[in-house]
Amino acid sequence: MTEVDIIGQIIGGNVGHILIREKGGKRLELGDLLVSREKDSSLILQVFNLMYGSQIPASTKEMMSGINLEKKPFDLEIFEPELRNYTLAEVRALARVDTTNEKLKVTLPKILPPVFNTVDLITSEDLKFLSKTESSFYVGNVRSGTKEIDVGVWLPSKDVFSHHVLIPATTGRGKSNLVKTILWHILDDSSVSALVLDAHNEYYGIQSAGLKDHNDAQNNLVYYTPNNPKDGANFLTVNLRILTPEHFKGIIKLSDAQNHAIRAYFRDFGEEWISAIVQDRTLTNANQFQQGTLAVVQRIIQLTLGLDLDEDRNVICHNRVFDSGSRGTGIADDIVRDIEAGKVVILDTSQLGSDAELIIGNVIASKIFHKYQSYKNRGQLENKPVVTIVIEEAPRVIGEDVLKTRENNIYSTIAKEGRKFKIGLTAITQLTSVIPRTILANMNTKIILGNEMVLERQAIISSASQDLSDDDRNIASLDKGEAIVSSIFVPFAMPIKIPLFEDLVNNQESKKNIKKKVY
Amino acid sequence: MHKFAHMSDCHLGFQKSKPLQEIEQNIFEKILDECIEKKVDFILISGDLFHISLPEFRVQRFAFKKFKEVYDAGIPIYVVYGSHDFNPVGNSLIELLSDVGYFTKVTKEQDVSEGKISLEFFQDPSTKAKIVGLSGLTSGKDIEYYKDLNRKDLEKEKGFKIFLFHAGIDELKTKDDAMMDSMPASLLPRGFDYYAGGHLHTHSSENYEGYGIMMYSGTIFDGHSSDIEKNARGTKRGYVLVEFDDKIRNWEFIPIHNAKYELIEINAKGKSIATVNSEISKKIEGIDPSDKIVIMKVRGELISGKTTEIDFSKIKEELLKNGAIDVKINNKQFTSKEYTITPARGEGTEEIINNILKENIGDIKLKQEELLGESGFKIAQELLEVLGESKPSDESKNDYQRRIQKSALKILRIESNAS
Amino acid sequence: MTYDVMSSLIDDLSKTLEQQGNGTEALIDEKFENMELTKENFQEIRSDDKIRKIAYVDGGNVELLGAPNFSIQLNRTYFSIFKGKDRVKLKILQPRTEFFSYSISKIVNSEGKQNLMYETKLFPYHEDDLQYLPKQKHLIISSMDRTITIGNRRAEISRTMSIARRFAEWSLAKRILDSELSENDVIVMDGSLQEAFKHEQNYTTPLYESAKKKGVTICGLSKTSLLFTNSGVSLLGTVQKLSRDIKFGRWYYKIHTSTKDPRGIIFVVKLHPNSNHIYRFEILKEQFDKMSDDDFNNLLYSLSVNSTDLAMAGYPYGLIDADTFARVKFNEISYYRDLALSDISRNPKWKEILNHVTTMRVHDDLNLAVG
Repeated sequence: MTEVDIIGQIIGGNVGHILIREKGGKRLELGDLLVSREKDSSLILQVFNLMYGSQIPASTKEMMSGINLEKKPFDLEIFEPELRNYTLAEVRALARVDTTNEKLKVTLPKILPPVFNTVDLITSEDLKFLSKTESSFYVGNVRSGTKEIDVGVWLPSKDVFSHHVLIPATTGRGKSNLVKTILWHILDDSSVSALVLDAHNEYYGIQSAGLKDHNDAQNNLVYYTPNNPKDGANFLTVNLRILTPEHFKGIIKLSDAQNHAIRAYFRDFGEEWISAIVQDRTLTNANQFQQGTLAVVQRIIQLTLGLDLDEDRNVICHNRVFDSGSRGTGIADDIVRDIEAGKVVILDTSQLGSDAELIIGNVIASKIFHKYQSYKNRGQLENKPVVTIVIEEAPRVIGEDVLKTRENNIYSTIAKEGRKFKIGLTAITQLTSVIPRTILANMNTKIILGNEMVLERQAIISSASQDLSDDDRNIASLDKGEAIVSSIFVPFAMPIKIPLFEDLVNNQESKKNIKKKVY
Repeated sequence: MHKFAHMSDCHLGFQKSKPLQEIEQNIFEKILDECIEKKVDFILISGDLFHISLPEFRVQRFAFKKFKEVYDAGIPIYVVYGSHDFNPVGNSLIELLSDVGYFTKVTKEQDVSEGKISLEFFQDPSTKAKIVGLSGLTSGKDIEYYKDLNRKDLEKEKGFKIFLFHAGIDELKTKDDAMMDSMPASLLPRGFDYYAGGHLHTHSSENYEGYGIMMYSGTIFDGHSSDIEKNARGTKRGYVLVEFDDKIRNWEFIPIHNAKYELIEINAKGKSIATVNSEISKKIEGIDPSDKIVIMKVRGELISGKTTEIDFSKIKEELLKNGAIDVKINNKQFTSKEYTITPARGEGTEEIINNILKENIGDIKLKQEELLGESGFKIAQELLEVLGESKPSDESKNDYQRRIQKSALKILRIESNAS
Repeated sequence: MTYDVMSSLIDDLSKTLEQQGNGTEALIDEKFENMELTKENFQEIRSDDKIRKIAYVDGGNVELLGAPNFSIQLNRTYFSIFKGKDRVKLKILQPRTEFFSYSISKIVNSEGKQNLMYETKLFPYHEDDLQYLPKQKHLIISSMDRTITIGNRRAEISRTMSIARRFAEWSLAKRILDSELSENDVIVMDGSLQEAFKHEQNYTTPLYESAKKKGVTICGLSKTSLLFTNSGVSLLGTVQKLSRDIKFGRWYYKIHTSTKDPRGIIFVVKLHPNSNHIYRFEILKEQFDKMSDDDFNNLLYSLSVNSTDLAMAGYPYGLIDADTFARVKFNEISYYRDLALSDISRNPKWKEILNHVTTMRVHDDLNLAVG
């Protein structure tokens, strides 16, 4: 460390709140990562608060300001300003790095740094312990304040996704960019597959850069859309015959009578139960149900799935997703097969209502879940890729209200038990506070984007894998593209700068197209 | 008004038994006779005309004969390779038939942009229909070609267009086709009037927005182990006749009768071998197998006894004796508790196979000790290797069979008799 | 009832002050010849091109432990050098010196009489520093010495507290002059140039002699003054009043014309237009007499340029700085006190030592008892 590099000096404080005086002319930022270099180790610190310090009493400063503002003296100034007025930074110790060891062992800090030790800004050399391991995905570069350090943060894919991921973010903080970046790297890694319920059709890249631009997209990306699929995309068509009453459980709210009615239809008409409801076919024991109940059930099914009858009383679907004919019978099997092959499967659910989207997701997720359960029973799970189900507005399925008032759904089951079967959720939400703590505690990786809501920040902080109790201000001031990764798989809560997705695409090595012989 | 016939997946040469070979040939010739009779303007064959690239001489002979008749009738035949009759070095009967002019392969590449496959249209001289296509390749490799296909240029072309292809389409697969390699319809160029598909053996058709009719004519008889059973269950086989001028005006699936069937299904789940044997006998007694193809499907796990205690060869013999044209036994899902294959793990096929052999050899009870334990494992390994050897293209089938048999018997230390 | 009594007190005081008026002269000493207090005596401090280098010297001390017969002190002296607004890097000397001292009462027999003497011993951090500190022999003073008594009463030992520190400041000033300054530079002492204690001349004289020789001007600046006018009112207050209509923002006012005493000539100065305060300024007479008006103006101007800190306009920043580092802050006292007590406790005779301390703490205990 040279004289030029020194940014401050430790002058006091305690374990959680070490006080540093900023050197004159330097500008510490909230979130800056600093290093106190000691004999056999380095201590990594992070700024969580900045305050004014002064040798001049407050009342004197007020008076000085008054003179300056009111009397406007031309020749009065503050002598040796950097000596008498300065910035104090409250920092906390994040990690101690053993510098005697080539492997740079990282431990939780247990001792204070020496008083008056100088500190400087972290460099990439100090972060050598963060290295890319086999089967890991990239979330961004380490961030110190607003500055980006040229060191990537790679998270172990299989572990992270099987232990669930939470992405709490309010609008406009770069959530889509983050998800696209994560999925981009999963495309390179066949040990993880993803089922993405894309409610805004923003990940594939219809109008702009997207996952379709990945070199391996042709092999590893599968995209389903109801709208004019192009160039390798699939029609999102789900045959009504593959839906069962189980798929609606925990997604739509039904009274006991309505539930019974649905099961009666299923008993009587089997695979045709939904068509039977829409077509108003008579149940065997119709008299045990009130007419009102059946009418409500019909309305619910029609509204949820967007169904209606044509002139010939054939069941049609307004959103063109559900089919009563022969289309889309194999879609669930096809998707599960792709998932097992380690691919990323995106479902464009932007044309669907929330419930319909979740039902389709349920069909596939249930299939995957039960398959993986049987693989585990047969000792074959080890060779299967970890599956992550990416779902937006997660409180729809794992919110406290939903779980209290409705039956468990597949998503909450996965949230609670999925880890055993290498299936996890990647839940995106604006409202972390409505997700029960038992579920939040299971979500061992949180990639925290900026959030201006106090209640939400508190919910995030209280369930984080590291102590973020001093990061409230930090989280509130996270800019677009900035995040904090709090995970049991990183040595400390890692501030990151997420790359612009378009840059990832542009920096990709151009694919060499091998000329094929046409037979 | 013009018309064309669309057929595919004939798999000529697939049949082993003489009666079925005759049926196969008859159906094929009948279809082409009908095409001549109906004076179709051209015929489309979407791949797998032959079951292998160079079928046996018998097949070549009747095929050539018939195609000459069609040629003499002035009816062009437009083809693409299928996954079965394709050969990377061109040693295919399709090539011969193209060379003599009986066929036109519609897969000509224009060398335009790097990395993209640009195809040239063929125009049928009499109808002016524009035809283009991509061949099927083995193991789903053709999907890679579709991904690189220059669809834009094909879509820009004006006129009545036909796309000839041999590949499964996701949106048209049925439950039975679930495990087949397939691709999304969006990999096909849009805006064609007719998509003449092959590879899926069951006839189906669909209209998708932005596309014309997507049609699978289906196999004409049988080209896969499950086809004949489907025939027995009532699946119709045949070809498609299409009428058109500047657009498709009408199309019709023309079924061709192939044979009469008897389907015997036995559910062995939870039953003893004696019960199953008895059931089989009863069912056989209850049918008249004469002039029929008999399909026996036995499935389920026995509660006691071994599957080998049912003499399927004898049953087959008996049925043939009673006049059955052919007998197909499907016992793939027939298992016994006393002997089930324990699955094993490993990295790579070879290791998995070896592990399976090792794990299961202990369950086998045989009098010949050399077939058990470590020596049994070694013998099984060697046998698998020999039997797994595929037939080289320059070796005749008979020679190949003889050679493999000799090697296998040598491993089993059994002397082989003459031929 | 209480309000009425207070009102009548204030009324009476106001009337008395009014009656006193401002006075016409400063009441300093019979050694000085006073000037009339008039507006015409205000002189402007004019801007100048040249700025002189000025060394500012200050000291501080605090009692750590006290008893009627001894007192343990912590002493500091500090200096800094500025040229205008800029701090000048020191060549040789360390800016701050710190030393402990204790003063103890002793009975000394002299001419048949028993005199209670107070003797101070110094304990610097570094033994080498001892040579620069006041000599032991100069730190013995009688408890009845006029320079420390109040009226006829014997002086308390605490009155000797600042003697060692005061003498150390002079020693420091001498060292500064020798090592850091050159001709035309200035030394400003915090406080008066007047000698207050016995033996103080042993330190002021060598300084003044060296100063005259080297051409370094010695000055003193006091924040407060006990000078009165001949009507009994505060001199500085009266000059402040007189200055109200003065147009120029920086000025000096000489309050006596000549003197037989070679020490300081006394002025009152205002060093910045925005300053609310005026200060007593002294300059060594011999040096002043040799200076032209321009030279003197230049000296005061140099001082005023250093008095433009926003924190305290009109007071030299050098002295603010010196005060900061010389002063023993309140939160340091308990640390050093505890240090002393801990060492005392290791001493076998600690009980006896503490007995003396306890006798002084009656006031503290009383304060605690009655609040």
